[in-house]
Amino acid sequence: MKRIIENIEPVLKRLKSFCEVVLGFKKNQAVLEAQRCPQCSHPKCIEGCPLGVDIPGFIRALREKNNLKALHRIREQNGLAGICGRLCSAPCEKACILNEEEGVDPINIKALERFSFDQGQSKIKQIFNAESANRNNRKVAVVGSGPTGLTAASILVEAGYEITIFEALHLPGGILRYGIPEFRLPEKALDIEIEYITSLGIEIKTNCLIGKTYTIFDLMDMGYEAVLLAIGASAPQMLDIPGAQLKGVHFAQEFLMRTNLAGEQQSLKTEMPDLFGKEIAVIGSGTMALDCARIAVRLDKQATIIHSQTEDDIEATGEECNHAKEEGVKLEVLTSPVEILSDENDCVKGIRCVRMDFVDKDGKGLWKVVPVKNSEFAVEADTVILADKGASNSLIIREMKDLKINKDGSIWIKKNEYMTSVDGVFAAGGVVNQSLNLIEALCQGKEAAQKIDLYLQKKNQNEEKNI
Amino acid sequence: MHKIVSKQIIGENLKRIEIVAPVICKKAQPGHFVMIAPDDKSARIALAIVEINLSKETITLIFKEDDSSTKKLGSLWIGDSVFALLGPLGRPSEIKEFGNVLCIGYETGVVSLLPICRALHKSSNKVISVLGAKTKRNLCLEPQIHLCSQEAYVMSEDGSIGKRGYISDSLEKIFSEQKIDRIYVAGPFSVIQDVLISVPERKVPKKILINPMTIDGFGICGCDLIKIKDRYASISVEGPELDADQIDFSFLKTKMKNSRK
Repeated sequence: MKRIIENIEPVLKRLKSFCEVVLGFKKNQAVLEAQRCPQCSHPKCIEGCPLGVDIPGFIRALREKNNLKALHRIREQNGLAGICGRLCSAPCEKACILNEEEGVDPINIKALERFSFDQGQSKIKQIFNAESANRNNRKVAVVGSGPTGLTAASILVEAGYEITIFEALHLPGGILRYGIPEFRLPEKALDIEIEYITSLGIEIKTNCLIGKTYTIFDLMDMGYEAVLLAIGASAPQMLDIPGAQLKGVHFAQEFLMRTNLAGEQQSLKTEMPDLFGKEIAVIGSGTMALDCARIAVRLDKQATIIHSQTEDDIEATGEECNHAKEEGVKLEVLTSPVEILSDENDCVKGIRCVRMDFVDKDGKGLWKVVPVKNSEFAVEADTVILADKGASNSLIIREMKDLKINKDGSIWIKKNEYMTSVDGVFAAGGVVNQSLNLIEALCQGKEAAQKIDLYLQKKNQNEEKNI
Repeated sequence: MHKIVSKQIIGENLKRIEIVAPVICKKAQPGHFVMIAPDDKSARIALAIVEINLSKETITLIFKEDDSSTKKLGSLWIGDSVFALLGPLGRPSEIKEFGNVLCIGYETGVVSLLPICRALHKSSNKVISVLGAKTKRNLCLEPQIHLCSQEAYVMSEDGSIGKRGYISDSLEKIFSEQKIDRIYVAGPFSVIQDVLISVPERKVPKKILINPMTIDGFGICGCDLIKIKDRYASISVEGPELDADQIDFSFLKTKMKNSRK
């Protein structure tokens, strides 16, 4: 039996709105796909999942058409099932045993996870257990309500701590809220996940920037015995080519924030023409670049992605690349920007690029991508979006001089301990490693939460000894 | 939660509101700003904290109604609450006894200059202020500046108030009469540049105040990235007060000319 593919919104409909592109499984499709699972005795998919979700277990529940049970099974290990079911890079599918058989595709685990969430979440009623919450009578602060922070908070609250999440923006979700467009992660799905997290007994304080509104020391004075910094890595990095300051050059962060935080998506089409031009060139290679380009085509603009490597090197799933191409996004691969060209008013009028190619310089088989001589050409554009990887947000680091920082600006942590150079202050996610994908960030959040639990247990034992 | 407790119209399209902000007012210092959103549909805007009242636990903001967010904010009544208020943001101004300090502000730029002027005045500096505007109607907060300055000059381009001319025209006289130890300039980039070129004394430390054009207020969006010496920095993190001698002015010029609020 063939792998069942999720239903997709037709291209023409997609381009007219910000509606979700991947529609997920219908009930019968999910059951059929679940029935393909061989239910191995030594499931490789669990080993492949950084969070160790009981994949055969939840698929079994889906076979029995018990979606609620399936969702509970996922949430034992992963508090963000609806988000992972949409955005995960699915390393479990790469580990699936069916890959070893010729001509057989792995189980569509990601789609099944999403189906469990979409169908199961409406049936979940009250979860908050007042007895279990704060049974340790200890407070932990989580800074940042992105994927790492939410995961860590959900694990710590279940371990019996009183958790407060501090978020600088007015809505929780971090990068999931302002960095991922509606057509990949609908706001509603994120709201449901956050509602679930808060229903566990977690308090989320929005409009609260740690480092400014409160310092970490203030938090400690307020009785928080451990602080987890899960502030992500989204500070923009300037591309060091001439013309980067010109009119019409924007960062992907700005573009995504403006579109995602806009109150009404439909009003974007009327407001955006003043802000961004008609022909948008996106320099970058990750999902962020693809997202920007895909938003641009939805706003009736032409979008070109400029990427110095091959199409296979784009750090996004092949599915997303295909969706982008279907929607009319142009890909200029093996192309490197040299200069952003300006007109007489200091406005962007294009990008001077150079073609790249693979060269085996030493004849040792070490193929490298290098610029091709005399291959310069111009890409026409009136707006350039820089969608390079973000750096760690320096604000909190600047406010706390004792925090040890790595050369790349990320926060130093004790290996496998997640503790920073300051006692009781932990860090995980993008702020520690800037190249994490979603599932790795969730995994770090989970591990850091376990380390915080251990640290506080140890602290408790020491205190009891001293008494 | 953040209730408006008083509201005044203090000029043409210029409003002053006092908002309850118990946490922010304890930390706020001259030079700090806040990000404010009047409702969930409006964009967040950066506004300088003009006054802090610790006993009432309030902060005061002054703004010109020139876009949809500020118009919406201006339409709120006493007793209404704002949707979001984040702060205090940015770096506070360095305030100590410098000696003779020249504070220059053009039109609404005076709003961010006023708290600094007051703090400098309190710290026993001699504050010499120069306010400029196109015409009398555009001049902001003149009485307030007068109250915290030993000397105050007003320049208007059409001569409708004070002396006729540009701010830069008054500088030579001021510098000839006394030694100036520090300069603060607030206003649009063209005025800042014009003033800095006209300062006769090169070695005086010059500080410029730039309103951060930011969406988030803590350096994530990149809208307000500028070049300081050889590195890139965000105005909302390093500013709003910046050292004029360290800034890459050609970079800032293109950025300021083209930035959209």
